[in-house]
Amino acid sequence: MEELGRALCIITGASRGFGRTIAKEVSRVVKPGSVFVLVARSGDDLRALQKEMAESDLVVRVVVADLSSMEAVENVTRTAKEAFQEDIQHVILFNNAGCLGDVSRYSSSFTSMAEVNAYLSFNVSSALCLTANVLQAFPKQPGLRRCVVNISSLCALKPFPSWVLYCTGKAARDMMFKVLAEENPDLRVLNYAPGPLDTDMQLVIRTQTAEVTIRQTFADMSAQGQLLTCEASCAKLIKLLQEDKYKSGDHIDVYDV
Amino acid sequence: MCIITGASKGFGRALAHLASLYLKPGSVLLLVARSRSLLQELKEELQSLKECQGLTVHCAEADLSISEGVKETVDIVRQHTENDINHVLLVNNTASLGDISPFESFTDLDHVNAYLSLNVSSTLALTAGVLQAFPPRLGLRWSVVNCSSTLALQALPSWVLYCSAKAAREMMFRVLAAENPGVKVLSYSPGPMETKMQETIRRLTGVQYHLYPCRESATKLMKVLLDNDFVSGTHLDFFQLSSQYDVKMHANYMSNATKRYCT
Repeated sequence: MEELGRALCIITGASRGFGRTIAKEVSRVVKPGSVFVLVARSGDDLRALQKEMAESDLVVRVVVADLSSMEAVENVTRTAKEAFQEDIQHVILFNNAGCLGDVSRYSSSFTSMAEVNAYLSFNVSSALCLTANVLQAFPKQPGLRRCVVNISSLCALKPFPSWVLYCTGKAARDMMFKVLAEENPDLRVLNYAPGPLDTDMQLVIRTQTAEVTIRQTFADMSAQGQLLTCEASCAKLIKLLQEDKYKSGDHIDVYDV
Repeated sequence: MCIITGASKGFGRALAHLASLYLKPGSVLLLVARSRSLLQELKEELQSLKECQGLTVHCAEADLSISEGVKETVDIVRQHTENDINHVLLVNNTASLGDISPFESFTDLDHVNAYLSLNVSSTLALTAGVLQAFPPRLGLRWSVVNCSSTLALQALPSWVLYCSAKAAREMMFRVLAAENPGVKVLSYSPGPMETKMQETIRRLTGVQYHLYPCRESATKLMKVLLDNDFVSGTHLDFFQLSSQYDVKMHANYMSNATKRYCT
């Protein structure tokens, strides 16, 4: 079992849901002196999380920004660089920020390029650009482990009617990070699908999805207590990172662990 | 009604030639590209062919990387909804190579957004627009082709933009297929062809594949569409469709594709 060590963890979409859980759970397993850079649009939620994490022996920085802007990407990178200490052994970037898009509509309704572009900017481009910027900011050096996590989904592999934007974005991301893994054998790259989590996103899924069978499936899962807690899924993710045996670039689902 | 984007050159142009031989009299062939002169030249070539006398050929000069271009194209399509159309065939062929560069070089959001806009967003917006103009119904056959690539399925170093966009399109069309039983969706990987795009690939990466004439690949695609035997949402590859399935050639191509990197 590998320790994550003294780590610089950058977590996007950290204010709620799975991102928030990643921040809290990973902060329990890293060495004192670790640094967390938490990114989200909601300043209040981020600062509340920062307060919660302030008791531990950690440095916690927040960046309140919408990642689909160059300014935000640069801000996160700069904050991470400034917070970096020489004794950091591990840089981990958690690309978790993402949104569903409008799941109440079918593919043939997406005639607006502006809408599709805005979606891809936040869910695909920003992940690519942030990762590129972070990798440039923390280049390969002896004694520094580097890891990039993509929060993926079953939707990266399987088409879901009325979810065209979400599936398209997740498929693009999985491929993007596969290419990264192929290019950089010294990087650890993980496409992690966290499963059906009990979050705000899940609430939207079971109330807004146009496709009846899908909406019903998730509504049933919720009613029957079959949704996963963020903590349970995050524990699997941490296990994967600690064991560090996964093949870089692979897509691993919570149910595979 | 047959719509081909990126029709002015390469695979799109070859497909326009093939399609014009098979479209019945009374059909409309809409050729979309940025170059008015190349489109006009193609239109004249097609109209001079004996087999195309009953065919109406329109050219739409449009830049699909911007929403006006997509809207203008859909508007032209809408002009034909009163025609006696019993089959809509939309071929999403327009694409760009993008920068072939290491992942870390893609630090600029605008650059990546511009690439995805042309190669992903415009494809969805155009397909959606044409579907709205000709809603699938009994008596109206609908076929949609996504011009794909082996790189939709396989990651290649330095090709993050192209791979990601092709993977995105692949999934987009699988969702479309899952939503619309009345629409036959095909992702077709045309193989390495004698095109400007391949010239650019050779120039940028130094990799030289054995190239096939566009017409050969277009012929295979046309046969698949005419046979109409494929499962909607499937991905078919030029090499799978070889009349003599050239296993060695395919294996060679695949292993070369993964071995060579851009430096």
